[in-house]
Amino acid sequence: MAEKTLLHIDHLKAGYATKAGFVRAVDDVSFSLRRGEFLGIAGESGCGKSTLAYAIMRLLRDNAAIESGRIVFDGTDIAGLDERAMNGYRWTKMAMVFQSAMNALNPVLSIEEQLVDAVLAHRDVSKKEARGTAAEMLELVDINADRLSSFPHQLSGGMRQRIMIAMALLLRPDLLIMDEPTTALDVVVQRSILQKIQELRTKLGFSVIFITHDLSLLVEISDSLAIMYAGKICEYGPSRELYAAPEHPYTKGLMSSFPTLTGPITRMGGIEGQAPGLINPPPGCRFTPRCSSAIPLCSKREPALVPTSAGRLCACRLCGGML
Amino acid sequence: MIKDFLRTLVQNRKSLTGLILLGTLIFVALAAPLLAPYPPKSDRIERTVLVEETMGDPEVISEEYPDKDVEKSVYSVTATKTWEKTVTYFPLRSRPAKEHLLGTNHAGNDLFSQLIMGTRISVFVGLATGLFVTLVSLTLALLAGYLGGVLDDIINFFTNVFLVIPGLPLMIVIGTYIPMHGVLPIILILAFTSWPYPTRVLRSQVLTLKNRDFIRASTMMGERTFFVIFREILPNMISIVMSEFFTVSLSAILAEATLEFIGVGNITVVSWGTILYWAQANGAILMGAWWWFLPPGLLIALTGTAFVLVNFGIDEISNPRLRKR
Repeated sequence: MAEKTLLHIDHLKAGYATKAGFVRAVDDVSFSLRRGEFLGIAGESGCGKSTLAYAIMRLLRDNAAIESGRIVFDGTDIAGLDERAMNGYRWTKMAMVFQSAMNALNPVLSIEEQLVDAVLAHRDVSKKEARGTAAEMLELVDINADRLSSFPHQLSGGMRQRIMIAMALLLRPDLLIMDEPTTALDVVVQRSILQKIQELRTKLGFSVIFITHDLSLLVEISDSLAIMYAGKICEYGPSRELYAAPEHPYTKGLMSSFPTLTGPITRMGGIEGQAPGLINPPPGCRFTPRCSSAIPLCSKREPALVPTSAGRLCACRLCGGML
Repeated sequence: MIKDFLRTLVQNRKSLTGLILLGTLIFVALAAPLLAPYPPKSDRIERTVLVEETMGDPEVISEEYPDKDVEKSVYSVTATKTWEKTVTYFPLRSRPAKEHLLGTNHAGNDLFSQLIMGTRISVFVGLATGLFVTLVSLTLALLAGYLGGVLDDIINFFTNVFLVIPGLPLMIVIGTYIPMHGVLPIILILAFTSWPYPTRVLRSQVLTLKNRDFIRASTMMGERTFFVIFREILPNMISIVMSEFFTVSLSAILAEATLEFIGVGNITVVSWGTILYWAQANGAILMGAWWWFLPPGLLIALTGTAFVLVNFGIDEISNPRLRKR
């Protein structure tokens, strides 16, 4: 834990202004990320994972906005920076692989043109140097440099995804945010991409925030894990420990929602009901309506995210969140 | 980018044919005075030959001796030249013959020469209107579609207003009210009545592209607005922009011919339209003088064909999947 903190999120609130009211998709989220750490954020659809990612990148647009809180990146609070100053961070210091990365390539431009464009948008270098950077980065993600002249439709989904990763890493950022980068790919390709990311991380030393709804994927690769439910982090901790002994009922539910490959086949638990709407979230603990261990107090008081054991946090009365 | 563009156009057989056709038409338009056997509006050939030239004796007007070694004199010589002038009048309404490949019209003008000179006006009016309208509507579409907001509302409002005004009657009304000198008024009238449709089409294309993931990704990557518009969006709509250009150009050629044909345009100009106007006014169809009214129509159709063929190649540019490998 002696390593330097790269990113510290402090009581971040963000959401969307709609006609029906303000949807607070990220509600009072705090965590820190060390340099070189791999943080996984998991949760079901609509729990605010992507909003959190976009908020960190300061890419919330239109009706979305950061309400309050601090995003301290490398010692600077970037939550209040203006667009111009933010451009100095975005892509150069923090980059993102988008959710639909496979469609994030322009169909009429060759891979080379797109990579070179990305370099030239931020670095004052010659076209030749930019081309060199692009080729180098492509080799890093195991794509032959002669693919530079290809158009996106000539590449497979996995290759396109790796190109998007190359594009995110072009400027050697300190932080790479990946928003469900492997959802559209089959498991074999998913695995090879994850291995690639791990390999690059050890080679280049960047931190990763990996967002997915596929918990099994995360457990294997991430250092620490944050479980989000209805805009809040409900459990946080080192992944192996969290996987071995989940404390929050929601995490337990999630863990029982996917089958083990090696153990005996049993009926899967799953979680009853649906995630609550975030315009009027349920009072008290937001998981109360679906929680099997809920007591009347749960819908009255909101549990705090409290430390349970070394490096672990949990927000539930069972972990002492209401004491 | 540009090199790619040209290579694609030449490699596609259809667009190569189109380019050759279009190139020929433009060449004919540019070199028209050299290619036309006779001036388009003359009904005769005048040939003047110098038969005899005689020199008279010098007649001294004054003499001066300003210095003992200098002699200054002013004198004049009268030359007498004898010319022979032969005027050959062209036959009126003649059938195609060796001297007049497409015959002559009611006034004895050579129709082949008129057709060649007419290419110049018609193709120029078509391409100039096409270029002008495409530039205007593309600018409006990109502004309205990409930037959106109040600007989009304003541009959209005017587009809608102009879309419901019927084009041809408006053209005729404007054409009858403004003085017709040369072809510039025609180009302006055509441009004025034909910008809304391409604006509407292009704007909707910008709107769909704007919300594609790769455009969002590039804005998020921090690329500048103008870069996104011209580098990311525009290449994706080249084919639709060019097809609008060709459509507008062709309809401008047709509309120009229409205006000339109904006599609203400047009938002193020689164009495909005026040839048709005079053919109609002199009963060419009744006489079965196909060499009079058919060639201008065929050339209009040929121009359209050339445009369409070139567009096949342009489709490949904005859709790399169509390219042969």
